[in-house]
Amino acid sequence: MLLSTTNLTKQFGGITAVDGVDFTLEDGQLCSVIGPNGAGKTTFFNLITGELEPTFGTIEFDSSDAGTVEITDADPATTARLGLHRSYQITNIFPTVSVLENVRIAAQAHRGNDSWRFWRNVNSFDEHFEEAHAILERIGLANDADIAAQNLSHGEKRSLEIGIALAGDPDVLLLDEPTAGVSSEDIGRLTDLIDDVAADHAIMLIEHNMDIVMDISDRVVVLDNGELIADGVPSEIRESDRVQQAYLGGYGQDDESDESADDSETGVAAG
Amino acid sequence: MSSSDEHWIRSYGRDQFPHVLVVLGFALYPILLGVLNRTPLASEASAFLPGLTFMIIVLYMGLFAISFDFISGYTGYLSFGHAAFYGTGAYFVVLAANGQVPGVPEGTPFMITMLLGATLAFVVALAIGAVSFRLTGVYFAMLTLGFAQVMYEFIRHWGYVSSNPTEGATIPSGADMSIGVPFVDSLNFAVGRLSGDSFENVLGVGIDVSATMTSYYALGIVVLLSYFVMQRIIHSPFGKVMIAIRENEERARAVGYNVFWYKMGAFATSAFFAAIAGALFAAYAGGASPDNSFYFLVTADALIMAIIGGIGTLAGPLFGALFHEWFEDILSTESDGLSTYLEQLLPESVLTAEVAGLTINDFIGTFLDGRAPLYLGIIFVLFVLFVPNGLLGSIRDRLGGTVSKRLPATLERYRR
Repeated sequence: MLLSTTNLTKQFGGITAVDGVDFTLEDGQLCSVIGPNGAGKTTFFNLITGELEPTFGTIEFDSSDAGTVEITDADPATTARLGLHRSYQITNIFPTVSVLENVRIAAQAHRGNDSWRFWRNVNSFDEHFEEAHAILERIGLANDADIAAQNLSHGEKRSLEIGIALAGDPDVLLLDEPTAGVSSEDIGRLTDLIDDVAADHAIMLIEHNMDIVMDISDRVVVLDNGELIADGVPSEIRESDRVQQAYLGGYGQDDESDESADDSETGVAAG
Repeated sequence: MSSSDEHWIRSYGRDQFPHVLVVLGFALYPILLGVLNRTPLASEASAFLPGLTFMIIVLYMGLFAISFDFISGYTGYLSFGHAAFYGTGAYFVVLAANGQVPGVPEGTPFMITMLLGATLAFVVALAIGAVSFRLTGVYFAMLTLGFAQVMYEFIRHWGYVSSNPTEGATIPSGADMSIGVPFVDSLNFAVGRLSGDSFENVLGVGIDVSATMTSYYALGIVVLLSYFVMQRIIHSPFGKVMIAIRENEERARAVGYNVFWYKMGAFATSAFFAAIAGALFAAYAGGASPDNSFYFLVTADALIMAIIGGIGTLAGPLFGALFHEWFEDILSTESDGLSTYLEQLLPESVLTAEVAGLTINDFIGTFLDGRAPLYLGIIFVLFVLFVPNGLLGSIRDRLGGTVSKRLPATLERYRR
């Protein structure tokens, strides 16, 4: 067990966005979370990282630094320092500082009390820069290190989004629609990156592009109306009648299908 | 490696070149004024250049504006109640000079009371921040403003301060308000508009240093040190977190920063230096009143200076202050302003000549004499619209980096 939720529930007023989810993520898994818009996928992520507090239920996390801890009520900064990092559906970077600084500041957060050493120049912390450069190399932005993040193309910003989450060597990466709005030629590059990152991290991935999901996932869970309705390897999910009904709309049964990938353009999916 | 080690002083000097230029400019300015006063250009100099008294205001208001920018420009939280900390510093040294602060004996050196006052402001900021940082954006600004107004009203009616608290309190004439090393007489220089130290025939070379000039240099040293401390913090890992909070607070939290405490630290630090600015002001002016320390328009002055100079650039507000005070001086009603200069320069017949029922004299009186706030308001609007990055910010954009990094290379290009 790396991450597990028990009866995780979130209610907004009368609406139940996440409904009694029992879920366990194992080490080294790439687990995709799929489901129609409004199924509660992003809310599920927000509950895990602490951006929202659950109405009921508990979350446990087996941190490589701190051992098994309950993180039900932990805030986002705490879960991040424990090793749970996320990327966002809508690009969420530090726009006017350099690409390098975007990743470096994230690496710095995991260097103990370094951030409180206000009397030392930031340039004297070589390790922060080395880690940031290594990550930029990995996400393919090494040549753009010095330009302002806001000047990157959309596809590059999506890579940087993952790069920021990679800093500090997390145990679990929660990627919320990393390919949202990305042009078809950039999707291949991003998929390769996710595949590469999955080699040494456990990943939870929200994704609407079924080709990607079926291609790279070890396991797929399906949320519908906040409930976890299916959990299995990609081929099982593809064959499940209930999933077909709720979400896939004929994917895998008929090659002429209108892929639900189009939903990725519509923005907010949950919450 | 060894060759670069050899020249570290030179490379450091090159990096600090713009700082050296600015410090030299400020240091030589009084001498320049003194020389100009002995030439036929004396009246032009006094009409068009800021006088020394205005340059002193540039120093302490500049420091206040820098401290305002430290929190507002780097974390993005507009501290509209910043005058509260300026006032705290000012009142603390005034009350301490009167022996009215419990635990601080009368006669405690000004340098110590200044630091104590700044520490008090640090603590007050933690208290205000603990409440205000629950909110963001305009709500944060309004909350800090609210706290400052409460303190303003309180200090206006607090009988302990003086018999007439609405008029504030004054430093007793015997009090020693010296800047320097505490308890070392030869390294202390008394500051004050009326009571500062003056020196005649310095080093036997026939230069007289007036009380104003002593205050100018003594205040300048404190402002310079404060600037370097704040600059150090901005360039530290802590400062980078402040910038990350300004850029995207949600993401800063998501990568693992407990942003609340970073904001508190930045806010308290900026309050510390605002209080130093207030203490310098009170020592120089010989007292403080609610309206020139705790009042919200004091914050507004800092805001104008920061916007004109460049918000988000640490040195910018100092240049904004220079611009502001220079304008005030030129358009002042006092004897060294533009209006007096024109009245003396133009012959009587021109001054009384009527154009559309208005004499030139009336025109000067209406549009120039003491009209600085009017034009500053217009300039402020123009800056917000057309130069949103301010003076220093725009120069940085032009050079493509901070001035200290880019200026030497740019100059090098012109030298060839």
